[in-house]
Amino acid sequence: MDATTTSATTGGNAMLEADQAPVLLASGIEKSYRQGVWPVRRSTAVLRGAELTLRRGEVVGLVGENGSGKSTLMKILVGALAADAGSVTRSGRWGYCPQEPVLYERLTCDEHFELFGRAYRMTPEAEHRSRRELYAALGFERYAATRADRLSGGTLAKLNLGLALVADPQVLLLDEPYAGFDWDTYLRFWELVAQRRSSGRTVLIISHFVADEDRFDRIVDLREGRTVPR
Amino acid sequence: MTVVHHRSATGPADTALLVRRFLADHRRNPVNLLVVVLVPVVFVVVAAGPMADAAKLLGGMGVSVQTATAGWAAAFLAGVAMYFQTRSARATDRRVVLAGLPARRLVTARLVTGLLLAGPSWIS
Repeated sequence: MDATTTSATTGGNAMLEADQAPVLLASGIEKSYRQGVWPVRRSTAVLRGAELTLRRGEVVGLVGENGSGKSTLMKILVGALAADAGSVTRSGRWGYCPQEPVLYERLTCDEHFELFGRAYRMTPEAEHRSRRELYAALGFERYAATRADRLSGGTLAKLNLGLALVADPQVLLLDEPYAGFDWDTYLRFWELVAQRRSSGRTVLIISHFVADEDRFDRIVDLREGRTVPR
Repeated sequence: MTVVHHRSATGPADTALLVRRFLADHRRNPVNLLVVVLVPVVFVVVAAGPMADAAKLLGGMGVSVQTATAGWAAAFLAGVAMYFQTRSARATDRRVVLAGLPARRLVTARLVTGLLLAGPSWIS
């Protein structure tokens, strides 16, 4: 989950430019899904030129009704799905939390963190430290040695989120991350987001509704396949 | 705030870890264990006799056919086990690759896991 951009600027202006430079830039994203077989094949357009720009230290909400294409856009942003048209440019390390927990059913929480730590190319020490912090922050340390298929829905959601956070990425892309959380965990989640924002990390949160609008720096609506600033 | 130190890529160590985890995942499914032991035995007991007879009729050696049958059973089982494990873990494999693991390393680990799964089948 690495991509790098280079800059030839120096000094204070360079820092300012780096702060304002997009860490993720998506433009003209189009996507259609085809259904059925010829000659009754239908094409349903989901995204019709969606645009999104994320800058350093922003918490952005992407909101839309069920079936509006939020998850499709997220998958395109992370590279899990190819767009029909448009471009996505990312810089820095990024973490992705899918809507449904995507895990190895019979591996434990610890084993998941170990595997994803390797994938992120973290040192074992850094991965262990990060894992401990996430267990404490999200409150599921006692399930460290429990297999994923024996976890409750809420704990699965915590593990799913933890795997996106473990490498402390510059850009976090979270698809309905708090759907299975209780109130206490929901508040802990927002503490984590605030910590990351204060250290210059960028967070994109996709949701079908926004309960706490003031927690976001800005909100973008996805309507009829297009992004509309609120 | 966590400070993450990144290490240089260590391919064989990563592959070994993946293989260990995939084998653990396989071992923790009791149905897999049953299949890896039971099916080769049934294969040899049920299918090897008629196949050996057929081979003799064709002028071959019966014993070698029995051995080959066990081999086919092992290969068949390893293939079936790998298919189901890979199919059920496809989305997660994809997520790990998106996280930065080279796809080639994941494929290698899956293949090595399949070969190691064939071992118990041969023995049984």
